[in-house]
Amino acid sequence: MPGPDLIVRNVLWQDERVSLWISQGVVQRLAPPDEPCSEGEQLQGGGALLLPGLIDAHVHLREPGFEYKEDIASGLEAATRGGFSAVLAMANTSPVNDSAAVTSFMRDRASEAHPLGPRLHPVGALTKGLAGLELAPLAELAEAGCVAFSNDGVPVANPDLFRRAMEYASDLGLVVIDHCEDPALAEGASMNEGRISGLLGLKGQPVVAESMQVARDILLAEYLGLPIHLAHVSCRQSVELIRWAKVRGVRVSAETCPHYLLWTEEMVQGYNTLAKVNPPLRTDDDVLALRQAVREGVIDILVTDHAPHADHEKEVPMDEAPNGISGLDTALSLSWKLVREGVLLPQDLVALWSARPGALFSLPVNRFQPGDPADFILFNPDLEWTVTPEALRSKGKNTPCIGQTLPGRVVAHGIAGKILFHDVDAS
Amino acid sequence: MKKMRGRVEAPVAELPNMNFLRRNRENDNSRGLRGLRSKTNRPWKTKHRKMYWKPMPFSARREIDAATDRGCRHFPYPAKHIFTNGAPMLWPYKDLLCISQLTAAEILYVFQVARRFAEINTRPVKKVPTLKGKSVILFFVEPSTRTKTSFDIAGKRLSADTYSLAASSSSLRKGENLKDSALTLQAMHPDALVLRHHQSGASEFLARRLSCSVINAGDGWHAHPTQALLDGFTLSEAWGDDMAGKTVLIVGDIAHSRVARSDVLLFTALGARVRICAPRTLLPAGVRQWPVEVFSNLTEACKGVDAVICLRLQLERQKAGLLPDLREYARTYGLGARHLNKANPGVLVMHPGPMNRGVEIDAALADAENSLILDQVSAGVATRMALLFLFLTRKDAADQGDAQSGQAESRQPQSSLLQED
Repeated sequence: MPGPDLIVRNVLWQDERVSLWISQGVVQRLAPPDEPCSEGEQLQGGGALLLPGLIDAHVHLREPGFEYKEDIASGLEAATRGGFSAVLAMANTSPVNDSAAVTSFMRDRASEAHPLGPRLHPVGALTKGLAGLELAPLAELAEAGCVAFSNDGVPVANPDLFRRAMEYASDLGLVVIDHCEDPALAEGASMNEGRISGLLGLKGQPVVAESMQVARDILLAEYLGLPIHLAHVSCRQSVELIRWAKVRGVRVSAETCPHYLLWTEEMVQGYNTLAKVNPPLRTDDDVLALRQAVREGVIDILVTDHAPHADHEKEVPMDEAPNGISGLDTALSLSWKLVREGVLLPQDLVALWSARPGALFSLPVNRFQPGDPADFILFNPDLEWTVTPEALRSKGKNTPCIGQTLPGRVVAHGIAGKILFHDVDAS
Repeated sequence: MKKMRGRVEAPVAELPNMNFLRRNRENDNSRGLRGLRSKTNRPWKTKHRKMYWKPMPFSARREIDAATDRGCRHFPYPAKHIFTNGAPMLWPYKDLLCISQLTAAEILYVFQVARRFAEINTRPVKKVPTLKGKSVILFFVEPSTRTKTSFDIAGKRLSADTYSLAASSSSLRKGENLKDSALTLQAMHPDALVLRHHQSGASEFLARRLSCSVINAGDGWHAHPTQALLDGFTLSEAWGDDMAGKTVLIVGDIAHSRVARSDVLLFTALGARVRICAPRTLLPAGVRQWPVEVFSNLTEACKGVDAVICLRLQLERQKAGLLPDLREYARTYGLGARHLNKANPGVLVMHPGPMNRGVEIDAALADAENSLILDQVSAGVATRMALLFLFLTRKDAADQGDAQSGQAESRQPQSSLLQED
């Protein structure tokens, strides 16, 4: 057996002090912390948590078309610092990712900008131009490297077309991700419909705008016997439908974002456009339901729904502001906040951010078993940092965390055994 | 004195120095009265007493000083600022965004000042030099003739320079965003900006970015504080300031009405009970948590009310599928004499205008004796004069050297404070 190329010394894995031995880009083994070895590079972990490289199954990297909001290089830089070894980039670019040319372009841009990683996995458009009228060439997209299909941002209103899309995608062995939202019920909304929208005089989006589509998708998935993945679930009604579906054995999986687990519609008070996101931040009750669902596995994975926007786009009255929160930089810190609040356990983070998304989208996952890809991060949960626009690597500074102090920082990130960065001062 | 919810048990506040209201050689251009002026050094003893402001009796001052020393727990700033004799009250706000920022005492103070100014509007020469040299920009992004004219008249009667800017003529049409338009206006150094905008929160958006006063003249569905203040002023002229025991009914499109939101806050603050009546499709989300009684039947809602405010029905609502048609709306929610039979005797009818006669209000009812609709228009000018006066002179008053003014100035409306999670 060849000796290790890299040894990550003195790190915590599942409450045990270990060292990670890596050889030729794969995990060789987890060894006792002080086991001597003369070969290979040594990385001093300084007692940080060892986690597998995270997978974010829902980001918007804006390139091509909206490079002023974000480009693939800056988005992947934010992913690197945020601890994500792989991201799934949605198709609502300009031009829309509904052809092999766009898919290849995105992959090429990623490997040019960040040859070592993080890995960019494009998600193909479900319908041409996301218009919801005709199927996109799904086979062509799959061949070019798309790992899933979604009409994210522009939900498909026509149930028949959506059914055909699910059927067609199943032949390719890929999952359809649905952004659940009834376009008529959600039209013109800037926030959750409820007490605060009534007081602020803003048009609200009722929870049924989401849950009706969740119900539709579940019923279709059961009828067709096909899998469906529900994007950014935000409310109790949806959670209860998904729980019901899972008990029935429907092949449904779901995701939610840290912001739905931490914040409520109160955040919008004072017309805070940074808290405008779709689906909107909901109520305390929804937050409780989502927290429970994440703990119980009713919601399978966490995603960031990283939606960067330029500052000037958010600096407008509420109605005009675009939806979205920039999330790659802060996701792990916000998740650690949930750990501190006792909502999640540290090992839940591994499942929610790495193992399960990897399994759902058939991506390689590091379980620290010999032969697994050596994607790892070192996370120092005690390091507090204040979120400032300068501290965010993403071009999108649009997060309501600005000014807050968050717990935990990624201090080192390695992909396939290559170290992307190691922040010696921080560790 | 009458007891009132939210109001301090303290002697009636003497009005600030409003010497400018006196007729003197400087500002009195009306020839008629000058000859009548008495030579006495106690002009309030003469038959022209109305024209003079009597100094506060010494005993009252002592009581006020005592109240000031005690401090007043209803006010987060020293009571001195409310009960200041001789100098105008230190108006604690830079901006008027929403009624929720005002305490009951501040609302009543606006009424008091407005009552003084109302007199100017009946003079032969309707102008005083109070705000001479101040400039007010009327920035009406959403078209409005009535409110704009009202502000324009109010400003001009106080000798402020008013400049109108409409959306159709402004660069907003050329794609400039609101922030840039506002900063451009700011660079012209106005003292106040009166904003009407079709988006909720637009006034707060500007207030955060501009150093001049921003007066919200209606933003989206959110707030129309000057309308609420004039509605309150109109009713306080009829009922007195104490509205405890009175019931006010607001009928119509509550969901899309900034007037309704502001009126509910104002009348609740003044101690009145508020009812609203509308079809379910025109009720805002979360209305059950409002401090109001909700009715869907107009006849029921009118039982025992003292005033009814009808709201304009925007004709777009029918197209949006919220109503079957106007005829049906007029049948079920158009206020008529048959509804008012159930109300308390002397019930008053109001409408913020412009009216759709025969839709939300019976055509004859609008002209009836108990209709205050035109009084509202007059009250609007007086109220806006009072507001312009308070907002435009607040800095002058502070400059005159009250060291505690900084504390009062830092107050912000609660709704603008961002919530931490």
